[in-house]
Amino acid sequence: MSLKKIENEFKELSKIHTMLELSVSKYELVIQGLLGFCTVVKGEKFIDEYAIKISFPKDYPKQLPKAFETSGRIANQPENHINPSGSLCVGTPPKIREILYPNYSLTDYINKVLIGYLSQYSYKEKYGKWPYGEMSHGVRGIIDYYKEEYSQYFDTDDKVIKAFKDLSTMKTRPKGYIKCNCGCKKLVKNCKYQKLLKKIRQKEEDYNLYIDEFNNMGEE
Amino acid sequence: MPNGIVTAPEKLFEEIAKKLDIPAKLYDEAEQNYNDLAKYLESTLQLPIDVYVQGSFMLGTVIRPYRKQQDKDYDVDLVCEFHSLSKEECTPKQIKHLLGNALQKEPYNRILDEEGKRCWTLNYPAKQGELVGFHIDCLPCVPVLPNFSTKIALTNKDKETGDYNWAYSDPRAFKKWFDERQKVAFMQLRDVQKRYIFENSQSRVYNSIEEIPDRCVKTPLQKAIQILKRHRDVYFSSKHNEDCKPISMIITVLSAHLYKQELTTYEALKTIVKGMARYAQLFEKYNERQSDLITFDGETWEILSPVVDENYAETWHENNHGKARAFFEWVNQLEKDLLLPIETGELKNYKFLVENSLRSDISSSFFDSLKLNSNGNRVITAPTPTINATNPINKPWLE
Repeated sequence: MSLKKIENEFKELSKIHTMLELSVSKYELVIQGLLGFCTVVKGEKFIDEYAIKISFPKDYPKQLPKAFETSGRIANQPENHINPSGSLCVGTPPKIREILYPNYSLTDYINKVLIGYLSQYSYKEKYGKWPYGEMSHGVRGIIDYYKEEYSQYFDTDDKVIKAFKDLSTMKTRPKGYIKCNCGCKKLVKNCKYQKLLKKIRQKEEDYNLYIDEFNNMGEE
Repeated sequence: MPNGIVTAPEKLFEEIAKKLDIPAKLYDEAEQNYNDLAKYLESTLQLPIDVYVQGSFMLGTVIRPYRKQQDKDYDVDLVCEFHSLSKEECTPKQIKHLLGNALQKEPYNRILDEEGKRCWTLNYPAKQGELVGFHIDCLPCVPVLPNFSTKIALTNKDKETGDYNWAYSDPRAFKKWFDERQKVAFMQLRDVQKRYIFENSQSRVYNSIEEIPDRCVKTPLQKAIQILKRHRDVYFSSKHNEDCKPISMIITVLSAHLYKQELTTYEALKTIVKGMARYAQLFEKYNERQSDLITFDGETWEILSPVVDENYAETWHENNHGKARAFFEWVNQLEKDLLLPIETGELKNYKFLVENSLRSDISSSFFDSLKLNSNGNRVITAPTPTINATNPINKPWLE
């Protein structure tokens, strides 16, 4: 996966979003301009446009892109989900990865992730609240995401945290024909928990980062 | 127009701010003048001296002064800091005249004004073919704690007794504080603006983007302050209470506090003006010495300097709170002139209101091209393809 692919995709995308421009530098690929859309949020049609800037880092998708609203329409306040650096918190990283996985295409990022956020913001501007709710800030939101998404496995915070710890010690290619130590009494290759870990690992580039944060959270 | 400026009011206020800013050519001329002066002082006095601008030139909020219904020459505030001397070794009178004597020689004696309260003023006439000149106020001073702080001790001459004493200020710390207040917006706008200048600049030619100094980047905070100051100058120039005009420092400090890193001048101005107007209720409801931007305990007013122990509103209570009243009346008028017409959609006289309240012309073709519409709505210019963006739902989050 490389920025080259994004660059190529941009050619297609700019036929639809004609007011976006692309610039490429050594460190990043930047798309900016006006992004218009017509979406349906909670049954109501929203036609709107935003001035945006998205910067794709060199090691995308290992790192996720950063998106900015550049006209000041979305005021820089925590309740609007803007990071201290000014970038938009379009969603929890695992959710974004889930949407983008496995192709990490530009079209998905623009149409689903970014326009997804912006159209919810248009709704919020009109009604004063986020149409589908919002995730807790920081690592709390990430844990909540896993509890929502894999509710059959994770009913407590501890289970999420344990899974990430197990992930960090999991071998790159675990042997399938040994007995699993999760308590399931099955072989590793038949264990549902092990399969889940593998699935999370495939999508989640940042799991090592979270472990530190999880640990810090425990201390607070 | 650099990216990010989208709606009609946003475009309008960027244009207004651009007109109020000092032209690049004049800025360079002023810079040349004070650099020459610095060299002259160093060689004449044979003393190490730090010469640097302070005030609006340093903050990037300079506008052309407007008094008695006329545009005046630009004011440049120049600090002349004798950093090898200290206030324990000399008197304020010595320091004042150390600089004064140096300026009383050729060629500066010809443009030197009478001794001021704190400064020596040099009146640079307009160059041939130009309409604008400069007043350079040279402020002689010594450091208070050399190597420990940037605070300076400046000389103050009592108008009535003619005695000299020390006063204190810290322009460098103020600049640092001011930059901190606009840092987020600055970081976001820097690259875009520098690229825009690089591609479009006619008055100055740069070989690379890196060559463009940071001071060329203008944040919405700086531009909003320029608009506020200009409106104030015009407003008070036709009033009987011109002496109640709020000082630039009050406008600058309050604006910088209220600014929320908006990325367009219109949005920044809205936030700042609405923020200022809120304090008008202090007349009814005192906020005795809370940690607020403006405080009023029923008797005296306080707007504190962020860097030194100074109350900018020290005289606001005099003459039945004349200055306080004048300040809030002005803020109210500014809102009526510039912001309310957009919000209410009463745009019939808007062009006249803007031009008249700022004494600045906006070309009709530009104004019409904005298509300010009667409900102040954003005009959508980009195509709006239908997109299913909420399946799956991606709820916002914060790092």
